[in-house]
Amino acid sequence: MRMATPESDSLESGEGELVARARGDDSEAFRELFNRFYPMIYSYCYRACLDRAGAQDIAQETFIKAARALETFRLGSSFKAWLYRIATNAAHDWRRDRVRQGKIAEIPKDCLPGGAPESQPDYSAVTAALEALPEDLRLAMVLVYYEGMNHADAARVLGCAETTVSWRVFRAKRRLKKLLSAKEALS
Amino acid sequence: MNDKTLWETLRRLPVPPPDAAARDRARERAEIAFVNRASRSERGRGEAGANPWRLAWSAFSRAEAIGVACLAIVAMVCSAKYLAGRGERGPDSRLLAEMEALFPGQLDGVISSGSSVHLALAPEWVRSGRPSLQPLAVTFQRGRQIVRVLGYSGRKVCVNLGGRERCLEPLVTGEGRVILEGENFLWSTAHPVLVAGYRVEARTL
Repeated sequence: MRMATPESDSLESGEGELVARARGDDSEAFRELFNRFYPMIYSYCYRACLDRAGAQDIAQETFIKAARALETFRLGSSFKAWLYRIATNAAHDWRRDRVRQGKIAEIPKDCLPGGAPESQPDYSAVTAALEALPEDLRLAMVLVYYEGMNHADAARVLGCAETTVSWRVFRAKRRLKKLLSAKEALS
Repeated sequence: MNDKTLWETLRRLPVPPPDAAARDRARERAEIAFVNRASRSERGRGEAGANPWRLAWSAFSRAEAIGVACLAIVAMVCSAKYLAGRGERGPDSRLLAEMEALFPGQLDGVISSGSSVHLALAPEWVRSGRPSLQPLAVTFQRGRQIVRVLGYSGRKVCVNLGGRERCLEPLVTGEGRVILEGENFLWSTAHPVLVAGYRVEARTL
């Protein structure tokens, strides 16, 4: 598991200067921020929503909101954590829209590289297990496991208490173990 | 299954690369948003050479400028008296300041609807290190229903509008105007859209 945190990741080197330049209306600096953070945010969005097109939409929305609200970013704090927080809210909105449209029950079939999930049982099992988690548990799990955040940083991104993250991760792990063990037993 | 096995299993989930066209589109749209924001703040700072209002202002003679300034001061005094008379501006600022003093760094907003008042408070962990930002007031009105929010720029609040919770983030621009960013809308005085059927008014305090 990666142990980097939003505060310590090496990606953030020179980040403060770039953000300051972007706030000074330097479009090159903003483009550099986009290029630097888009892959990370897209990956997070994909794991949060498990849908490629959805992840692209959420990542786009994240950077549009970040561009509009750049003035509200507190210089000296972690830009990466700020982006994660915007992405989390955008993912939440995306999911709510999908629920409203009645599309959320479908497990995406087009998000896996190299073909249909039937030909890649490991991927489909993990996807299905993560998809089966409630949004709050999955986001906590994605931030802690995939993004390598500690519980305190994940709590800052999710806007909840650290103990809440710990509890969500605990419940998510318990549920995932049960789901994935059942799948392994069947196969 | 132990934690290590679980992590090894979870790692099997690959992330498909984003479509290059989607990435380019995202960059383009973000840059448009960035340029629009930049041009707004530029207008706010006002570069005399580029701003037609500034150019017009610079064309005034000194006496005309003093006359206009006097008129502006009179208008400000009158509007301050008018607002004070209506009991709006002063009490709002005071209420917000009193609540902020009770919950320093934790208050997201004071929401009033009819006779009920609700405090929107951030979780405990944000209490320290959150600076007090620009206070503002937002009013939602539909018919006789009025929901008022006293909050801060950059602090998200959720209000019940027409039976549904709507979350929005008020932001104060470089020009001192308020824009509201919600899940499916962007409100500003230039684009005064209805929010859940409510007419919106927003101002700084």
